[in-house]
Amino acid sequence: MMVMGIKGNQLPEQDREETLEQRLKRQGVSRRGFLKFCAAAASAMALPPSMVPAIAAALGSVTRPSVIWLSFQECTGCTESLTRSHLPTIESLIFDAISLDYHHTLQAAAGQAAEEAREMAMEKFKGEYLVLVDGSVPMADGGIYSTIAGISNIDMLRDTVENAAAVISVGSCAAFGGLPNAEPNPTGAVGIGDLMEMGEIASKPLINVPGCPPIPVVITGVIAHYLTFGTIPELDHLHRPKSFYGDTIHDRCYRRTFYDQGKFAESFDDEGARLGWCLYKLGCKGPTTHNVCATTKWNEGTSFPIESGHGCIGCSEPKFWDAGGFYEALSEPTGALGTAAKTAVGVGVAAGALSAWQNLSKRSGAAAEREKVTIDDLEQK
Amino acid sequence: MGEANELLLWAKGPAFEWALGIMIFGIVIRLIEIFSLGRRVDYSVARENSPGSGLKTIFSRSYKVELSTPQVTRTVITGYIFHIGLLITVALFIPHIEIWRSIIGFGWPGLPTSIVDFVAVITMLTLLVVLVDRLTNPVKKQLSTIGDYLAWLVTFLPLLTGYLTYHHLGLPYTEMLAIHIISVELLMIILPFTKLIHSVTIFIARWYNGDQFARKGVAS
Amino acid sequence: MSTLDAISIETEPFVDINDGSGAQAILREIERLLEHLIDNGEEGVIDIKTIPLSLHEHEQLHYVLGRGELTATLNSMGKSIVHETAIAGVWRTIHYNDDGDVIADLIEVTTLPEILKSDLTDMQNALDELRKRIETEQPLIV
Repeated sequence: MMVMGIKGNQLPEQDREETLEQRLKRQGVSRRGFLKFCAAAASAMALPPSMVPAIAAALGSVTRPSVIWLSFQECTGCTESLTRSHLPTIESLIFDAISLDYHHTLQAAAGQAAEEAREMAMEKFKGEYLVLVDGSVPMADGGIYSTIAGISNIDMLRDTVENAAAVISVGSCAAFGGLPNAEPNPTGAVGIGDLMEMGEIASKPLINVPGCPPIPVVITGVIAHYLTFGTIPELDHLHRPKSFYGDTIHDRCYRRTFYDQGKFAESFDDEGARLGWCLYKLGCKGPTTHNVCATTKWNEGTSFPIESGHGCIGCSEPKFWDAGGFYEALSEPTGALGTAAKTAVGVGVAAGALSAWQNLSKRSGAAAEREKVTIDDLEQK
Repeated sequence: MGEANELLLWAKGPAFEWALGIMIFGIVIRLIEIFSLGRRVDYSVARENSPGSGLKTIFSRSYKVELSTPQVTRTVITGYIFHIGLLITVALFIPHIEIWRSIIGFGWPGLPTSIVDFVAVITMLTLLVVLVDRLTNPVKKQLSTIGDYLAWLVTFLPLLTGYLTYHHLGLPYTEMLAIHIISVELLMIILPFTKLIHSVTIFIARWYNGDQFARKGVAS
Repeated sequence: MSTLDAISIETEPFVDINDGSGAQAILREIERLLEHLIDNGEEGVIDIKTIPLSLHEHEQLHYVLGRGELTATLNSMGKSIVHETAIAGVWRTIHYNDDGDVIADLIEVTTLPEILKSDLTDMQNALDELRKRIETEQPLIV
């Protein structure tokens, strides 16, 4: 499994000053090994291989930043996903490259000691530390629905983000509110970006890494990008890195050919499903979902949902729980159409009857008031 | 966060509900109005007994067309092309069939996307020809009202936005899809209150005319 | 016999879409890169791993490129295999991690992949090292 021993709270000063390249060298990794590491990192970060020299140069100069990982209304699925990153050598090295000073699930310290580690890191690396968040933040009733060490999530977040260098929201809950935010959202759950927009927390550079959970190497890839270049990668309008969320699943799907040919599976066990035809009719949300599942895939690049015969549920998009049934075609209207139609007929008939009565009475009224022309009238002309 | 998704959800959800409701309401009220007008009793004796003239006329008007002048020929041919094109895109594109299925409970086989795509382009081009014709032909221009141009626009927009959506042109897919759905909803809302109501009333009108003509001795 | 063995295994026929033109597209790109290398001396790299190719397209690509006369193996943080294809100047580099998973699969259009060259710093360190060894007439014991 991953080598991700939490780096305690007290990392020796010289250890923090050391660059990744120096660190690797100390571990007996040659320059060639380092170049190889950079090539793999480029691949993991979805950067073109021509960037390898730039990555090598950057990793030769950056030192290890302090990272505080906050977990709020979440299921730990994102952390589970992260620990299954399929390039263990790479990611363990990447994690050697940061100092993870606070993470509920992974840290050894507990209770008061854990909170002290967070406070110490915040104090020591003011304005430099990176905040990673998974889980949404409940805002209803003063934020009482989720607390850690007696501190409400919103208070802890506000406090921690205040002096952070940047924030990475890991998973759809932190990015967009996710499952807790689904209708009727009893806890008033919101994502980190929304809190920044609402002015509830300080506005800091924000990277969203949505997914339920995100692909393991995407989480590490985004972190690696920030660590390597010290900059925020190019983001889309939802603050998602374009290198991972630039294309839709549909655009990169190997079953796209069948969509274009009009060959669709009608049920999960018909001939079309067996032949691997398009899953659009079975509710695949691939066309509106931005992620790299179709190329990076899951479980060490083995497969992804569509390859396993199930449509995309759109988990990296905002409001995916409320975006219509998972098994209803994307084009299907979601409203109560029967009710709408019946009401419309009822109201239409009533209004039509009224209008008809009005027209008829107008006509009979007109007929009654019509002046009759007699022979005498005509002769007078 | 996620305005595009919100817009799509709104377009697919409440907006579609309302559009469908308004369309049905409009059609119902207009049909009742038309039928309730009635006609004065015709005391004259019918010329001949010609059963089925009404039904026959519904079809005969579609193929018994005299192409008397180039202008008429152009109108008929372009009319045919874009009506058939519209039917194909609306009824035989597979994602559209899924909408029909969710409304009326059953579906039917569709066409490959590339064919529908081609048909959509032809339909749009034909609609442009029709518009140019309307604007340049003095008689048509005189006859046209704002309602006619509105009807043209709401027919053309769903085709255009649908094409852009499928080819990922202009806006990102999610936004474009939302706009496409909204453009269709606009068509649905406007349909009953413009000449587009002919999609419903045409067969009633043809039946009535066929029947009346038969009474007067010129049965189909 | 465990209960699992009682479940018969049916193999579904393998479906591969072989009407894609991914291999053709990449080959054209390689053609362009090689042209560029000859004319301007600029190198190019393609990351095969991040391009969605069907199994058929993958095979087609490597079938066309063929295998050249040179193969080098690197043992650092897992194995790496670098070989020249039958097309001179077009190299394939596959990096594996310690578990044997492919972590990078590159097509490099270059006279010699960077990873095969000796590094200047390494050479400077090696020079000191060599001098020590000449003095002691012994390889360094790490």
